[in-house]
Formats: sequence, C-alpha cells, structure tokens
Amino acid sequence: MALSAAAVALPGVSGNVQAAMPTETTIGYRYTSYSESSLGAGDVASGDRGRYDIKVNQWSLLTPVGANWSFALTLQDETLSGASPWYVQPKSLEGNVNDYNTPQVVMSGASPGSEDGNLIGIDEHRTDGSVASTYYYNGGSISGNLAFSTEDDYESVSFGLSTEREFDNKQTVVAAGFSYSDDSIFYEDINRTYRLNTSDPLPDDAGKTNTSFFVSASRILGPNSVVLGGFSFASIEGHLSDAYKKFDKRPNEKEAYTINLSYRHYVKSIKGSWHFDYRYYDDTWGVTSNTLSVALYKNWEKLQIVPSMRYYGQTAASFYDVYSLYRKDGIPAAENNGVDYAKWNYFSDDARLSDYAAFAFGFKVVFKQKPVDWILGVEYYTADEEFLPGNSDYLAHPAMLQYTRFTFGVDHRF
Amino acid sequence: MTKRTICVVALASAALLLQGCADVPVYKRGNLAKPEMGWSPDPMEAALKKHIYHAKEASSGGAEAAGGGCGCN
Repeated sequence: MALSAAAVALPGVSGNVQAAMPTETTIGYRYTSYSESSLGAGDVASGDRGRYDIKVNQWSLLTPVGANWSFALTLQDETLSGASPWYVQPKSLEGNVNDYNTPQVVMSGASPGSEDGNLIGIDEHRTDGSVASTYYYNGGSISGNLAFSTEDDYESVSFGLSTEREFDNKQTVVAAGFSYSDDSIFYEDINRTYRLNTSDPLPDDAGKTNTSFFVSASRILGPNSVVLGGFSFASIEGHLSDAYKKFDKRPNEKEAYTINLSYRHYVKSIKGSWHFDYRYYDDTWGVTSNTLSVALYKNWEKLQIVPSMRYYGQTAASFYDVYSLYRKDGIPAAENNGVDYAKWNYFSDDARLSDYAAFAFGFKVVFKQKPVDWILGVEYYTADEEFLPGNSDYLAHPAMLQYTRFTFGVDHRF
Repeated sequence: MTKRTICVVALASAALLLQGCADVPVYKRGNLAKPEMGWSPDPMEAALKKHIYHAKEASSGGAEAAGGGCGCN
C-alpha cells in the first residue's frame, strides 16, 4: 500500500509515444537506491525518526517487429522499508497543555529487526510490468498496452489505447489516448500492520478505478525547435483514504485535469538541447499545482551530461488540517483552551495534501560506447512550505520530505 | 492566477506559436531528429520519476499527455 500510489499511476497510456517506428532493438536496465532523510527530533512525538529506504530494479525491451509493428516490455521490482507518519498531534507541554503551534508527528514505527522492531513499520515488495505494441502506418500509429502491479496489500491491472496522426508534411502531430485501471486494496496481515486507519478502515472489497483521457498536439517551429501542448482528464473513484494513516477520511471520488506545455530547442554551438516543461494541475479536492522543469542535454563525442532542475508547488486539499485528529469529531473552543476545531466530514493530515513546494536538482552522465550506453544519475529532492511564494494559512507540516537518489543504468542497442 | 487566466494564456501562447511557424523542409530537420530532442529521451528515467513524484506529491498525470512526436521522420 505504501507503494500503491505508483499503481494508481500505472501507465495505461504510455508517456513515450513515438512518432517513428524504432529501427533497432534496445534492452535497458536501471538500478536506483534512495533514502528519505530522517526527521528532526523536535518534529517527532514518538516512533522511529528514520523514513523509507527504497531500492528499484527496472528492465525494458523495445524492438521492431516486421515492417509495421513494435513491441515493448517493461518490468520493475521495488523494495521499501522504514517508518511513515501515522498521525500528527500538538506538542505536549507540562500540565496537560498543548502547544498548538508545534505539530509533531507520530510515526508508524520501524522496520522489523530494528531497535524499535516492536513497533512494526513498513516492509514491502512491489512488482509491476507492462506489455505494449504499436502499429505504424503512413502518417500515424495506433498503440495499446496492458499493465499489472502487485504488492503485499495491493493489486492493480490497467490497459490503455492511444493513437497519433501527422499533418502538414509531418510538421504537426496530434495524439489522443484513453486508459483505465482497476485496483484492489486489502490488509495483507492484520497482525503485522496494526497501525491502521481507525477513521475510515478498509472495507472487505476495497478498491478504486481510474479512467483518464488525454489529447496533445506538437508542432515544429523551426529547424531547431519544437513545441507541444496537451490536456488530460482523470476520474478516480473508490476507497481513496490512506489505509495506514490514523485520522484520514477522504471523498470517494476525485476528478483532475492537467494542461501541459513542452518546448525543445537545439543549440548547435554546444551540441545540445534545452528542455522546458510546464504542467498545471487542478482537482476537485482543491489541490492546484504548478510544475516547471528545465534540463540541458549537452553532448561531447562520447559523453552526455544532463543537469536539470524541477520546481513543484501545490495548494492544500480543502479537507487538509495538520490536526486532523480533532476534525474527526470536532472540539469546541470552550473545551480546548479556546482553540476551536469544527467537525469535518472529510479530513487528512497527510503532508502530501498540505500546501508546500519542492525543488529537485538532478545531474546525469551518459557514457556512449556503441552499442552500449552507461548511465549514472543523482537527484536531490527537498520539500518545504517555505518554498511557496507568499504567506501560508497553515502551520508547517513536521514531515516534509528530503531524499537523495542514485541511479546506475545500461542500455544496449543492436 | 485563476484557472481561466491560465487557460487563456496557454491557448493564446499556442495560437501565437503556431501562427509564427514557417515550413521546415525535411532536409533541415536533422537537429530535430536527434535523440536528445525527444519529449522523453530516457523513458526508463521518466517512468521512475513519474512513479516517485506520484508517490510523494498530490498531483499526477499530464505526462501521459506528452504524446506526439516531432514529425521528423
């Protein structure tokens, strides 16, 4: 379940629709390892301060088949262990007094075998895979794919269809697609994962579906530049509350749309290209976000370096409160030192639903030794409410995320 | 910015960009065909990032809409 967010994002429609049929077979492998930074002592009320350690293995195959077809296969194996936020409470002071200006997080515990092993945390294993095939004809293509994801307490299957068509002497390409996923959520071992959601526990047949559509168009602007604009819509229904957060009850449906713009510009003097990508996101839970990514792909003869930067900023969900424990039943001011917490139908203290912004700085090196490319990459990610422009109406969440990711990979073409 | 403002700016930008397009002959599209000019030059890295960001942020989607090639070939 901790990994289940990924299952929701299963690529029912591939993000890598190619206008042209591949002319060679590519086999790829990536190994990624990253650890989320431990929380500060003052941010944790109880439980382990350490967070997730994650390791990912990826394999991929893309090959032409006959004169008009291509076939793609991806596999991913992911392990995750560590502690995660269970709920947030105000810092307790002497005399049974709460410091409401200092929220502290109660963690889920630690991994089995650690010094806090009696407080059992997360220890999960996820496997997912997809198969895709594309048919190419003069002036366009049609693609379809099937995907699955399975972990200890989550299963997902999805499929997608997409098509694209070239116009104006192949200077304009219009693409459209549809995807659908059906997910099942369950408690794998009630004894192992006892720190559960007591506000909206999983029903026996918990699940959710995700239906999405997209349309996009790209256009050549000149010999060195091309632009793309797209729109997508997604409708998600089912049990959307987090099964491992104590006070978390979310609406059982959400609709979201995105607008995205991308621009690529080749600079001959540096033998490289600039990448600019922007996405606007809006959903019916009240979250809006802006994402801006910039990367430079610079080539030397057998070397490519890719510095990159990404900014992400979002507003809070309408039912977010860092003290969601008080929103479940409500506490009138007269009974709570003058602090009023009205009862809400939906509530969550998930940091991912708060208002915050994040920066990611990446650097990748590709050593090109035909027919093999060797890849080394690193990314530093840091999130904080203070990165948002302007003042916030919310207290800063004590479990904001930082991590450093390392990736090693190899691609073989033949 | 309001949603309406963002939509208007996006559509106006797209219209202006497309209006300013000149025909680019096929023989001048060599730079556009280079791998590093792709929308997603490293699909495995893109899939990994999408997976990570989706697990740690409230927003997702949009990357799916990045279909469409450069029409170089």
